[in-house]
Amino acid sequence: MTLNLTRAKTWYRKPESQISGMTSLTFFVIAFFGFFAILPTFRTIARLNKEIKDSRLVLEQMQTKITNLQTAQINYSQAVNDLPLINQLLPEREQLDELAWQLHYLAAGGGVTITNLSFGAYALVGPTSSQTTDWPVELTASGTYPALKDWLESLNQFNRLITLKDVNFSNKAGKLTATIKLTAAYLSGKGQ
Amino acid sequence: MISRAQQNQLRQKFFNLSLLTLITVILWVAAVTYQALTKTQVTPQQQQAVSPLTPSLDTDTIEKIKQRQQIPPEDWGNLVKDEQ
Repeated sequence: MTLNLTRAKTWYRKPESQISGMTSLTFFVIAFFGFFAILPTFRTIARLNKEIKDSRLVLEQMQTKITNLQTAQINYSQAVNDLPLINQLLPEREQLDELAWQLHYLAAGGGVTITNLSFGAYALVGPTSSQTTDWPVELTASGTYPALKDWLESLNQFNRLITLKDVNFSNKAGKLTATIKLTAAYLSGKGQ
Repeated sequence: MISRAQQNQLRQKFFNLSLLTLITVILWVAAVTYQALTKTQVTPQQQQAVSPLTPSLDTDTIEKIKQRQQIPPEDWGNLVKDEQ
């Protein structure tokens, strides 16, 4: 043991050993403090720096949104009287009884008789990304051709959003009949 | 007994190890700092709060809706009378 210590001392007295040993030790000390002191410090500084930048960005976007909200509030107050019209056009529920009434009212006004009216089945399940749902409706109406034509045109111009999907005319015993498939839209809220 | 050649080799290995350790730590510090600089600090709640909002209303569409035919409220009795 004593012999080894003496040898080590002798070896370390050599200048090249001293320089090499001190350099290696310095590197180890720098690496040690770099890992346990500099690394957490730098990480904290970088995180805080990023947090400040992000906070400024969020603040800027929030101010823009506040301005937009104020503008939206003004626009809303100007359009609030028209909301019932929009609700009639695209109701929050199916309102099939009202739709039946509207179809009959238009038909009666135009000299058309609705002989059959049926509403499609409700899909209880099924994924949808849309905020609106189309309810299928099928009806049969009879009348003269101009009356049916005017009535079909009026279906796209009254205060309920419907889409005509299919119209078939048939003439049975001199009586013109139209079989119509359409969908009535309402707000389902599933996509919200 | 360690020969001079072995001493030199040992010294060289020790130096290489210390240098490699230092380089590794420097790279580690740089990587961690870069990661902290690029990782967003905006919370999901903040992102939801600052989602863009379009304040304008489509007045043209509202005007078109106003021009649509208004059907009076549901009254089947009147309809039957009219049809008769």
